[in-house]
Amino acid sequence: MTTYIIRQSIYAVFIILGVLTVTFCIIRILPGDPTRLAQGQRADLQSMEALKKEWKLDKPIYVQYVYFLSNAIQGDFGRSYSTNRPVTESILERIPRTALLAVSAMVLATIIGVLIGILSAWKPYTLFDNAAMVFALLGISVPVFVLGALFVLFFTEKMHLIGGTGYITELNRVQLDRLILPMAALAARPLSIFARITRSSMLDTMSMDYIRTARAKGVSEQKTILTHALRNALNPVVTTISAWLAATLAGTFFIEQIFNWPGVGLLAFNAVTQYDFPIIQGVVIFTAIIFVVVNLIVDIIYSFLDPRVRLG
Amino acid sequence: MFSRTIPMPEAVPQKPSQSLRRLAWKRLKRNKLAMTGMWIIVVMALTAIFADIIAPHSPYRQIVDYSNQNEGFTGSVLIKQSTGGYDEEYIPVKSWSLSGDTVHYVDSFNREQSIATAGLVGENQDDWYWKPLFLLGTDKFGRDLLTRLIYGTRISLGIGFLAELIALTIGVTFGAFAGYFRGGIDSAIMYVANVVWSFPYILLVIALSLAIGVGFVPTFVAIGVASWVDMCRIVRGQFFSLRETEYVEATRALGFKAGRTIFRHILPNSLGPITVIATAGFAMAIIAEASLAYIGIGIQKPQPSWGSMIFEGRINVSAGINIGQMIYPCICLALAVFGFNLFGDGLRDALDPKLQK
Repeated sequence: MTTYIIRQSIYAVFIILGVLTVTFCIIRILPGDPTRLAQGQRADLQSMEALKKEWKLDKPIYVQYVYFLSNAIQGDFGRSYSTNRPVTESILERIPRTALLAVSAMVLATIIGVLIGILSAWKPYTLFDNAAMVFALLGISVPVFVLGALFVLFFTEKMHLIGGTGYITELNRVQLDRLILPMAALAARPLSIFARITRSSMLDTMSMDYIRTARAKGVSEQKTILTHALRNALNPVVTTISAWLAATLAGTFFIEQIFNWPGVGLLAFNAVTQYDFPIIQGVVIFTAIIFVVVNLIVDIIYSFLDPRVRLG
Repeated sequence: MFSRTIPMPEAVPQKPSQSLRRLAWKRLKRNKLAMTGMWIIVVMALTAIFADIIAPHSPYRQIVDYSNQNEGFTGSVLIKQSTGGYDEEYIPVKSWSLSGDTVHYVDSFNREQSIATAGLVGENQDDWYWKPLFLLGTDKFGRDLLTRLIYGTRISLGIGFLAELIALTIGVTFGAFAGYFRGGIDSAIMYVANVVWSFPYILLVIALSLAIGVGFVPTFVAIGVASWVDMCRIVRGQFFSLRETEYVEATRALGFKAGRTIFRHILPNSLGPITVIATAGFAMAIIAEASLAYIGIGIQKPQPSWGSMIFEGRINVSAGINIGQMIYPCICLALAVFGFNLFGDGLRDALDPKLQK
């Protein structure tokens, strides 16, 4: 058990190292002089040279790489070109807002998605099942920014159900009605995927012999599905949910821009339009690390629940 | 007496042998949803290829006086010969009359003007007077929305296809090597795949296209380079199981080189799952292209991409102008992705031996 955890943790560290390396490579092939981007078109040569020295851009590439890595390990990803604030600080202060959005969307997606999946698998090939699966496929097909934009158009601008976009705190309280639309838009895609995975996994499990046995010995249908089948069917569902957590964080990129929600996504969106590379780099690395860590935790929890994982 | 007749085996007409591929195609044809998806793809592909013939207007021609018009708007323009190197000039008119060699007309600002027919295009009235129909209305520059949607199909499917081609090449090569050679090669390739997989897909595409640049080629390269991991995993899995089969063992016994075994024997037998993943990847690439254009770093103006049309449409909708500018590209984009997903789903079911009846 302990060896399994240690082995997985070491592998995760190597993956994060790989993530940093790939990011370093992408940043290095970026066109343009970073010092000029940082200081604008009117920068004088002297201060550009000074900045070049400070960022070790005059040193060979492997020195730059080591410098980048050691800074990254200390949580230093440089300063924003536009605000000159440390990247880590800008991201960390916005994480709670994005987490609120992403986690609530994930909770919504998980509850409704798994429920739809179970109902579909319970009576497969019925009207409900077919309709649910076509809708789930539609949910996968509509890009998140399209859905967000349509939500704003219909619910806010046409029907005036929810007053405007944005994130307004009154007496430091989040106005929860402002959360509904972005949460729903963000949840649509994972919800559809969870419903599909739950359904197909349930159908696989329901054709197993032990389910037939349970039915034969007179266990009630409800109990057969909810305790016998569901418990075994949930494994792939849990894997999918953990893989989607980070993807949902990335999905806030569009949703926060559309709903004017000042989280990490909006920070990154504005950074892309302003070519503020340190911020983009920071957001990409942060999201990737969250993904790796979440997956590591899920792996470890999994190995407790299912011994086949750590022994296989 | 009973005569026990031994029933002689009659010459049963032999059914033509059913290859796996033909069986799958049969099942696919019975699947209505998959067929719907296939037709969506076929129609869109034809639209993309024959855009020049189908499109009623030029995607770049701006008649600024006709900006933000509603569906079914019909204009009325005089076509003037160009003066400064442009093709033609379009003068929107409210009314006009011809007297001799001069056309008197009322322009958009209710000013009475006149122009000699010699300054207009062509010989007679049919050449220089035109009542353009804008079936889906116009955008804020007075360009025909329908035409831009049609050309958008070309951008969307073209980039989707080329990006998927790159993803397919990288993914199949890596997956085949990892699955066939195993050991160190497998570990190294899977490490790279896991690293790439750790990046959120859309952020990786954005970062790559910022690095490579904007425009048609950088966009599909960035998307392709970011999306090979699923393909690599599936191909690797296929190779893992197929390399244990007897026919692959036979190729080894015959002393075939690894390349011949991989490409001539194992790969053709993995085509089913590869097609399924490629279809899903196509859908993802279409979304990625539209996302990049939406942000403004993919296809650049004035080239028509559904993503940038949605972005511009959104701004106009907020200003209370015709919502079609946003709705129609949304529908096109969702429909294209839906088509590929429907077809991919059906294909997966058709190739799944567990579902064979």
